Amino acid sequence: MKTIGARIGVILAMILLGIFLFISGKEHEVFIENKGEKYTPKNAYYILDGEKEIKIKKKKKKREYIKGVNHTIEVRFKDAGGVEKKVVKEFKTKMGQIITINAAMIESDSWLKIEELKSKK
Amino acid sequence: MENKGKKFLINNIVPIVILVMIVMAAPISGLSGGYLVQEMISRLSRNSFLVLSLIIPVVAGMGLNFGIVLGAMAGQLGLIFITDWRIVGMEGIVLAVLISLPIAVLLGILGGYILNKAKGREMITSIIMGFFINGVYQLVVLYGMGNIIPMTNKKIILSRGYGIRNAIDLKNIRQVLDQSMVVKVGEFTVPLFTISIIAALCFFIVWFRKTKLGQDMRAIGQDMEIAKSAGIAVEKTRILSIVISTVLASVGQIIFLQNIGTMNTYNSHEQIGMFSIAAILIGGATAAKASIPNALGGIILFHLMFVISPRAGKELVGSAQIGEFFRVFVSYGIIALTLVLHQWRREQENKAERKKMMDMQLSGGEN
Repeated sequence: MKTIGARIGVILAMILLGIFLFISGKEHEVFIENKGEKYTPKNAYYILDGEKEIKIKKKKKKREYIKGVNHTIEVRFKDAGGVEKKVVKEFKTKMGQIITINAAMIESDSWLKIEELKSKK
Repeated sequence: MENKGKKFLINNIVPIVILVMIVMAAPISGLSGGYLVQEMISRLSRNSFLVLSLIIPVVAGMGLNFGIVLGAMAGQLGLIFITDWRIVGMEGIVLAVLISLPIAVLLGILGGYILNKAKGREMITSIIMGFFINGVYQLVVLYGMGNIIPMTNKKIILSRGYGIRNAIDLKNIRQVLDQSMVVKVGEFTVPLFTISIIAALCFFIVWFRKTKLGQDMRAIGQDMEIAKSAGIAVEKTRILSIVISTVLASVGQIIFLQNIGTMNTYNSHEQIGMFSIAAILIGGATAAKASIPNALGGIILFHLMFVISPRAGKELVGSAQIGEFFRVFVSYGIIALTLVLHQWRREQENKAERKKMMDMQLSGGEN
């Protein structure tokens, strides 16, 4: 009985570990765009999860791949007055969602756009 | 003294022959020492886990487990799933191991059960069993995946909508283990994390041999009938040895493929058994005796030959293809030669034993 219990325990632990690894290791697609409603900087620079800084030109959209659930994005750009700004935001990724981050609107509330993926029939 | 030298020569004839070939071919190949050392470090970290998985069945007297192909298939199934689910990095590797574990255990139990039915002919049985399970694997991967087992990643599915492509790019986990902890020693790059995993396996094998189960396996390997009369569950222990070997092979195949970065879905596992066995035999192991130095030394010798011979062939006859033929011929030839030598040694030992017994009986009769 004790042995069966231990075996079930090991199997359960393995399943739980598998679920944890699935969530924390899952790769998600994120789109970064530089297109504001009132003002769009000529160039914006972003750092996703502390990785390399990437430049995004005016009215361009880039696709990035990130791993896991919790993420940070650091955006650097010059505002309409020519003042250098640096904004850091946090966001979460979930399966079945398309996330678009707008670097030009990073200071406003509508910096993050989440769309649910539609299943194909 | 002369007898001792002769005995040493007979016992180590295979590594000595290969070493002589390497020493002769190395200067012809024109490859630098630094290049060869770096290649050996990389190949040791890539192959050691697979070759070390062969030791435990030898201890249990089951010969060389050509059935490690079963474990390799389980490892590859784990890799197919994590590629389909887009699990990346270290998490991907660990999840692939977790997925492959139950499959490897089941295949190991099946293999062990069949090998128990074919006592004394384990090696040939495990070769044929590998071919049989390969058919089942191909059926599952070529027809089942995308049809019965849902697959979402279009990059790995054939254009017809089901079945896995011939080659899978493992870019999501490429060299994750090898590059997670790298140390520079002079001009050489050492993948410390992978080497630590291999070292841990070596310690496990040393520890395992001292446990009750390890001692039981050794007793079975020496004489199955005596082990049975001593109360050891022979069949169960033999199955366990194959299960351990298969599980280790599945992890070994994942380590091997993460280093290469590409998986040949229908071929990657096929050569594994043959090449791993050639490597351990070149290191001086036999079907009845294998150790960690045999495995590690064998990998170095085998891969030195692998790296040197095509270049030496090219320099000698102007065709790299000749070198390729040469190394294939040597790797299979070595397996045949070692098995013949092993049988010859056993016959010599039996002959000496019989002679000793007869001498004892004769001297006893005279008294």
